[in-house]
Amino acid sequence: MLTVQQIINGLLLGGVLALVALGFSLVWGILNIINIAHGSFVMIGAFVTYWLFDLFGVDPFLSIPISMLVLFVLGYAIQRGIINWVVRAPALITLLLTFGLDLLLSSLALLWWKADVRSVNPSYGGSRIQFGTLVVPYVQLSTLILALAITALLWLFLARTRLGQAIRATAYDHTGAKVVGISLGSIYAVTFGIGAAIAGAAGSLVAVVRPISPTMGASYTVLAFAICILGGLGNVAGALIGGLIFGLVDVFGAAWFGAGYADAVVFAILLVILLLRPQGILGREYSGGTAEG
Amino acid sequence: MGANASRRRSLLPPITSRSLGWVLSVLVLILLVAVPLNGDDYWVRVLTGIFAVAVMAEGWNIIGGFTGYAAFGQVGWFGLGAYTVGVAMSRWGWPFWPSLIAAGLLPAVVAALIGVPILRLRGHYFAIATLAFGIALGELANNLRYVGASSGISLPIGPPFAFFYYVMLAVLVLAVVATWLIARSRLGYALVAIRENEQAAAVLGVNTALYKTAAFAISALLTGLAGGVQAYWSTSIYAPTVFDITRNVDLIVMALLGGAGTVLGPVVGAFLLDGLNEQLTGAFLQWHAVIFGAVVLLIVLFLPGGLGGLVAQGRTGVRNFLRDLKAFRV
Repeated sequence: MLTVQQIINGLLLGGVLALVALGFSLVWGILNIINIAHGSFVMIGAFVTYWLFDLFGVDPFLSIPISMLVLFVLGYAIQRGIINWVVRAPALITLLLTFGLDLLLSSLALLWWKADVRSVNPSYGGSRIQFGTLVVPYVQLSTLILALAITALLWLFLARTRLGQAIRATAYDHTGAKVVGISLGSIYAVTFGIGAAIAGAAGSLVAVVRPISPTMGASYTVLAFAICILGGLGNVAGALIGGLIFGLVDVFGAAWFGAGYADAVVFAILLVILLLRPQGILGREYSGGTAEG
Repeated sequence: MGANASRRRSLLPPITSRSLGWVLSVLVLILLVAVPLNGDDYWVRVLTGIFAVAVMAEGWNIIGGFTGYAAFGQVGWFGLGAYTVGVAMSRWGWPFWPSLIAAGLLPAVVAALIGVPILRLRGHYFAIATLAFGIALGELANNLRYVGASSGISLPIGPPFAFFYYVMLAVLVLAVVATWLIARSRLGYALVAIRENEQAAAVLGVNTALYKTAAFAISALLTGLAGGVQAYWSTSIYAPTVFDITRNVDLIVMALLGGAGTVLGPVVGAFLLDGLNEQLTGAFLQWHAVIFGAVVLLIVLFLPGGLGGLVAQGRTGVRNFLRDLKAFRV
């Protein structure tokens, strides 16, 4: 039964990881921006939840819409006011820009909130469902369900709404998009805002299951990067599958090789997958266009 | 004919930007050699650190700048070099110099071995593969009891700071000279051909696999040497510090800022960014990282082509500046 429990733990962890990667994947796939500041967005989302809980006693799950809203506004403003100025430059230039942004955001957070490691502990934090010997903590289960729900919502949004279609159209062919009257600047800003909002939601969920600190961002950026590649770039299902596999491998790696080797095992498997299937598990030939030209 | 014409005009070589670059480089080198003579430990320490980062940026430049393969695991070679010197000196009792040579060779051999499979990956996928490998190396070092696991390795106490200053400077000079030689050699042309269009290069008979692997190994060798010097200099090494993955991005930023794919660009970028960071740390202990981030933002916004682009094309003046500013807007 040990392994079934591990599969459950892996999936519970993987859901949150998938959500961390989802916004990153969207921005990368649609805007061709490798957003180094993504981890800082996750961190800010986590702190929104933390402060709402700590100061006003707001339930961490109820604070998700608030951190999404805060991050959407921040992301929209950053794209509109800063990134749009160089969005047609090669991808490495925008990477440089987001690197500067990340430094700015994370060091401001460090100044204001200090390096303390904090955690959000709601009263129901310890409760769990028990099936025989299997244990499923409520909090983790809720984070998985919410992660799946947000992923599904994003998919619906991109597939069914006019704005979502405009975003996808821009990714496929931005000249064509311009011809039919789509304003690139605002589509980019909305896309980046949505990516940031999803990072905010991911941050809120992370705050419930893991300790948080202003310097937590960098490791989540690396994670998001790896998951996107693993699952295949620029598609919603890819981030989800990548995240779940990542969670499973992480749990199994820790159980078999010791917790110290968890990342090494994850990345070793990632390496093997890449060599066997260089376009990622669900990846097709790269379809998201670039913002160049 | 051209040679004759110039000989008739003047006995002195014409002052070109290339010869000016040489003169400047030599002057800076002489200045750098003189720094420890005035006995200021602060600058000796700061500059040794900057040299190390400059070597890493230059090492990245060979695979990332010339070959166009965005390696994100450069810190892995640095850490491997540091641990080689650490293990050789404290476990096997080797003297420093043979240990340092090993710190260059081991990363080069490992890079050549893993280069064969992972250099088949392109673009982002190569980036993540190198990142993965660097992280795995760091975690291995942090867990293997033989290399001290999480308590790291303590090395014998070394000579005074000035010794490390000169050794690190020598490694930097080696890196620059190696890059200069590569840029002018068959290897360099092959690498640029691979960067510009790998398929076309292969069709034209360039052995792309061989040249890419060579570039990857040389890049690892140089970076490993810097790690080796760093280990003996700091006398105790820990995996999280020498395998600090966030520095991978720093290096790339430096190389891009100064001009990736040029000989001196990454070194200039490293001096500018790391020097600036150090000065800001001294002046504004609390706010330095915030200001540093803002400066990076401003540089990218106002110089989207990088400093290298500006100098290389001689594109100065307000009109060009404004045109560059608008070039990438949406």
